[in-house]
Amino acid sequence: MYKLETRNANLFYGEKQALKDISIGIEPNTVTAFIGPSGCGKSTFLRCFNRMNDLIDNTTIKGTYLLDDEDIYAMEEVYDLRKKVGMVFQKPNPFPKTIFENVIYGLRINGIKDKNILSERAELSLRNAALWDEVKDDLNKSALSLSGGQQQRLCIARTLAVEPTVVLMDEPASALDPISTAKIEDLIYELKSKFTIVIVTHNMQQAARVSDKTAFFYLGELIEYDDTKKIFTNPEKERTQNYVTGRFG
Amino acid sequence: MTHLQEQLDYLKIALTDMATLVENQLQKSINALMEQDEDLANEVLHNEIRVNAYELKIDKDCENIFALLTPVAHDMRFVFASLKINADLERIGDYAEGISKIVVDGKKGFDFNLVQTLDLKHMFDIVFAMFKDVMVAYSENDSRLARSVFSRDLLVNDLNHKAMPIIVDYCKENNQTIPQAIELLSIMRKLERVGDHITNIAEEVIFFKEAQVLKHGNKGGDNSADFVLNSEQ
Amino acid sequence: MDNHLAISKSKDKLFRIIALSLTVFALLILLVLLADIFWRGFGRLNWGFFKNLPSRHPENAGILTAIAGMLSLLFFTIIIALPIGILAGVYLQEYRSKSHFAKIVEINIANLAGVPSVIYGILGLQLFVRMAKMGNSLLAGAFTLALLIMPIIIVSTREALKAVPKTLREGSYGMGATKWQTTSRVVIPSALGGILTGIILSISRAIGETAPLLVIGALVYVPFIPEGPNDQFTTLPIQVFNWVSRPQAGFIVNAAAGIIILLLITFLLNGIAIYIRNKWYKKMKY
Repeated sequence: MYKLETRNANLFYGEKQALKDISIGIEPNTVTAFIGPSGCGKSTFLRCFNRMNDLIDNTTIKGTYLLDDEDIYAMEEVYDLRKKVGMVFQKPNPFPKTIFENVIYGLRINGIKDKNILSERAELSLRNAALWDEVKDDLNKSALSLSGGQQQRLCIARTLAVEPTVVLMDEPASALDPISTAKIEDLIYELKSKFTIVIVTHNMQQAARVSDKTAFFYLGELIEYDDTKKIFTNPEKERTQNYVTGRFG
Repeated sequence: MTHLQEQLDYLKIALTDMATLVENQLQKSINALMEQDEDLANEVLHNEIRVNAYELKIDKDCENIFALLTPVAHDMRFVFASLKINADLERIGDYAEGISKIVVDGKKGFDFNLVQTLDLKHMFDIVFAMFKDVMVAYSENDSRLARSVFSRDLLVNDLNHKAMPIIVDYCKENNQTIPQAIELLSIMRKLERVGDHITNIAEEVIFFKEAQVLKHGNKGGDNSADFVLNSEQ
Repeated sequence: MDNHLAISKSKDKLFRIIALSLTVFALLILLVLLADIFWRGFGRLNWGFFKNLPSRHPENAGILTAIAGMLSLLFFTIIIALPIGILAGVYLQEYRSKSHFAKIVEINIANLAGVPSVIYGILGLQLFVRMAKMGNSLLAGAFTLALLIMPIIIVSTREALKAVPKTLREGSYGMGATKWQTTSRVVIPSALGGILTGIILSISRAIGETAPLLVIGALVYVPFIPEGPNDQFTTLPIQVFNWVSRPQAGFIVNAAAGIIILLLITFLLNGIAIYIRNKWYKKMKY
């Protein structure tokens, strides 16, 4: 059974069609990379899985989108969906609160008040995000005092604290320096045993390094979707080959 | 542990496993010869497909590592060296197969006095020790141990060189068993080639460890190849 | 080429000279005014000035009731204007910002901020003093001033909320928070600095208002401290206004002294606003 699946997904911003008939199935506990040139629709498609496109006016969404075989767009409460499907954004966006309050934000909005549960989950999430050792001495520091790479890992910890089953990442390392990027990539590689991860990236080498499967998008269409090994050693479509060898885009 | 390090470790394990297999092939083929054991020789022939399978798998692994993980510096040299050593191991496996084939197809009745005179077992022992040492050198990144095979290869070449006149003399006096004698010469040649491949492996280990290229009498400067090619202009 | 450059350079220099002299001129006027006030009134500032009640004799007159009235008025104004103003700002910015309704309201609020304050006084007179039968009490004054400063609070709340980056809201929604949770737990705390600044600026404005209070009937001579919201009152600007219109020279001195106090209060409040704003923005560091 697929963890995430779409059939004939279409999306329109007003008159303009951003996604054209995309059908894809994502296996559980894998890392899938969405690659493609700017404007190809990969971020838009990613945001369908947690209905973040609902926040943008004038969008029309057609097709079937499934999480664990359940229709995402038929769900009563979109908030439940977002607890199961977490998201990490391109620019680190910690709240102007302490590190601790940031990590447990998701728990608080779910009404969890027990201090023991909160601190346990906080520690667990920070460990999972490879940040615990760096912050454990002072969780009451402002989150904004951390470096960019640390802030992004904090955002990851915050997302993990809610115990989602899927984590969506929209270019999570593009605003970071190379060392922080490498740390985040190692983290993604380790997280896949517990989560299903979909990552949008414009950095092909990153996609090659961290993902099991890769999907190549171009002008709103899914051109090729296969094992990452295949896409980077011997892709089926010429367009895919031209893109990964850097001949366009 | 990073993804890259994991893949590099798997590669090393795969290559050392292949080397163990090839080592066994060599041992069995010489034993088959010395004991005239056709069954043992057939076992070697049967296992050759496993050696080939290893070669294909390791080639693919190296390809994937280069394509997906873009190793640089000593990681890149390691994968490069492993790729070449892979080819050398496969050829050594072929020679072991060749020796076993001779035992199976060839006429029985090798003259063991001739074998003594040729010092064939001794040649094999040197080559076998070289093989084990060079694979330990690969496994432990020990370029000093790798270097130790070069002088021994000279001994092997010497034994091979001496074989021709011995065989010629033997053939003049024993025209009933000329085919077996020629086959023994062929085996000595194969062992000499195994020795060469082992020195190749040693060079690869040194390249990986020290980034020094020792091929074709090169004493170490990178530019000598360019110099030769450019001076033709 | 050289010629062109030389002309540009001299234009540059000319502009600088003009700008500098105009600035100096403006500052000079301000300095002269301040100097005049201080020179006249500084000597009058003693403890008696602060604790005395108004009197017909300038040496005995003090600003106690005026200050008390001003502070009481401010108190009531704030508790009326603040909650309504902030909530209205939050509603308009977070819940309705794209609708037609919001656009109309936005235009009207901007206009209201520019309406001459005496008009608020007339409105207050009819609505609060007469129709609501509050009389010329603190309560009526508070309601009137609240109406006056509400547009300022609403606009600055909206601006502060607008300045909160979209990415923060996305981060909250992405975790499954509702709109209210996002607004109350993330957006408003982030905007607090700006909102506070807006509050303090509106208070500064309220303190200085004289005309609308006079229209609703704030008394000019109040020899008692107001004790409840239904009491009559006076404020410091009104007191100053009163003294200035008296013939005795001593009252001019009092007026000057009163102005000094008023200026000090204004500077103090603005200083607090700037301090808070700087501290908050350093904390936010976007």
